Amino acid sequence: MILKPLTTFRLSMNNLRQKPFRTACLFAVVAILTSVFFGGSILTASLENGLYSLQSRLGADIMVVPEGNDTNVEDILIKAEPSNFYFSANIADEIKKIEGVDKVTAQFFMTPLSSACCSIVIPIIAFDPETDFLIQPWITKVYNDPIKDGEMITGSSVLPLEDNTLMFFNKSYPIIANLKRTGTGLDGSVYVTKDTMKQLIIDAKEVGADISTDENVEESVSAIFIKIDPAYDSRLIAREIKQKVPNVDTIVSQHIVSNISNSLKVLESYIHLITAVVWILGALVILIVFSVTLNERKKEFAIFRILGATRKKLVAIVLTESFLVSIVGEIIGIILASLVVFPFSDLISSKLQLPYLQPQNSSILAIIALSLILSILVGILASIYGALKISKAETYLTMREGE
Amino acid sequence: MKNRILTSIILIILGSLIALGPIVIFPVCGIHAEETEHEMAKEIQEGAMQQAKMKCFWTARAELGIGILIAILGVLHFILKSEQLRIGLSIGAILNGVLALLIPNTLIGVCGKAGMMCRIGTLPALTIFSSLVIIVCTVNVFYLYRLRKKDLMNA
Repeated sequence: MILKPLTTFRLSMNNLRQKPFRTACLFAVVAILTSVFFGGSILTASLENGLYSLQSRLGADIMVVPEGNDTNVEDILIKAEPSNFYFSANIADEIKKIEGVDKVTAQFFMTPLSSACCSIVIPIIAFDPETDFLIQPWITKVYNDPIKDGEMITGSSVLPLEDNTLMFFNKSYPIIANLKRTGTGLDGSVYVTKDTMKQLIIDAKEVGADISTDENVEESVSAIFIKIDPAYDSRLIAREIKQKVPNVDTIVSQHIVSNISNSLKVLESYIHLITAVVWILGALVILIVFSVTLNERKKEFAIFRILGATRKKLVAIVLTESFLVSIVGEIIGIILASLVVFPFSDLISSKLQLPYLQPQNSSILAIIALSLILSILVGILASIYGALKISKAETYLTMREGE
Repeated sequence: MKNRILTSIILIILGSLIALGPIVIFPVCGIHAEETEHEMAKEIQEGAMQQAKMKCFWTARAELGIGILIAILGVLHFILKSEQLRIGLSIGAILNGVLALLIPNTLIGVCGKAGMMCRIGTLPALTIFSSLVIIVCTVNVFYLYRLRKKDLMNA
């Protein structure tokens, strides 16, 4: 039989194998630490990404809605909740006259309240391709031709039928483009032209379907979006609109973003606090386990010394053990956390009710690398004290201890 | 002995999760609707359900059966000591795992609209649980096969 050389790595591996329960417990502690750090980091990165995406997706500086509906706009932006509120389309002309207003576009919201399958509803948003500056920049990222009447553009989470169409009131509409995921409520909407919306309302009335509106698409709008001249202050213009135009509410985009940003900060501070507590506890557990077990293994290390191992070798054996525990525990922890944060990202997003967009693969890899470094550092720091103590112990005295 | 108990416990837990997950932990759409068993039985007796059930409802029903079957295979793993029999049981569990994976993904499916509970909760949960059954049992088959080969060589 050929004997394999007794390297530091092989000695450490054998040590870990000899005590499977202790090793499994150490793996579990490191796995918990890593999964909390990795899961928490992915969660905060996704929320920050979602906020950034919402910020760039909003596009307008000010939104104008009928009085009393300012909170509904946030519902549309974040949760894709159906909203039905309308005011006169002439308001857009009044707003255009205000100094500092650069671009104005209006949208009309409609929601079929009952659909063929399931209880979920898809909000339909009609926009004017001639004046629109909100949706078209996003459409051009995936589709180059202008949208025609009778065609639909869907948000990323609207699932089409097998032939890439959507069925509304017994009529089939082709989907020409599926917008990129933004992590906001806008992913759950369908975008059409005003003429398509008119047709949809006529069809709905013909089949007797329940829809959210009886309004005339030409005369009414649901919301007016305003882009202001960079030289002007959006808050001042919003105030002016409120003074000059009766029965409207204005929403400044910055407010929405800062509101979400505030709730995000609270959530993030909880995540950081939980991560910190778990890491401190975990590091303490590893420290205690290592010092207790090394204390028990004093004689084992004394025998290594008698057999010719240097003090350095003893330190190397202990550090390799902790390194192996950290690596394996880290892999287990990342797999466990990945099984929760990636497949259930939509569920997390819907429960949090905040914009949620998963970070890119490069960021995920960076988080994996960071958690790997952290878990190795904690493992080594927790074991280095015991390792040094063991290496300094007098071999003769250790062997005679207890006699 | 350890392998037998561990595989048995894992299969019982995963089987129970597959069976009860779509009803209790990650409920499919409308599972908690105010419909009592009595009313359902009445509807079935009358010959036709009054309201068409969603796809995910039937997925939950099918997974209930398969999950229970996987849990029973787990119990048998504990009772039967022969390695050859346990290899057979594990292969059976793998096939059930494949079925548990295919039902929500292709055979029956879940509701067609994004954002519904069955799509964002039940579907990924069932995919993970059934994949774990397949992975654990495949590893177990290879382990038992090698163990048996070793025993035969030593005999």
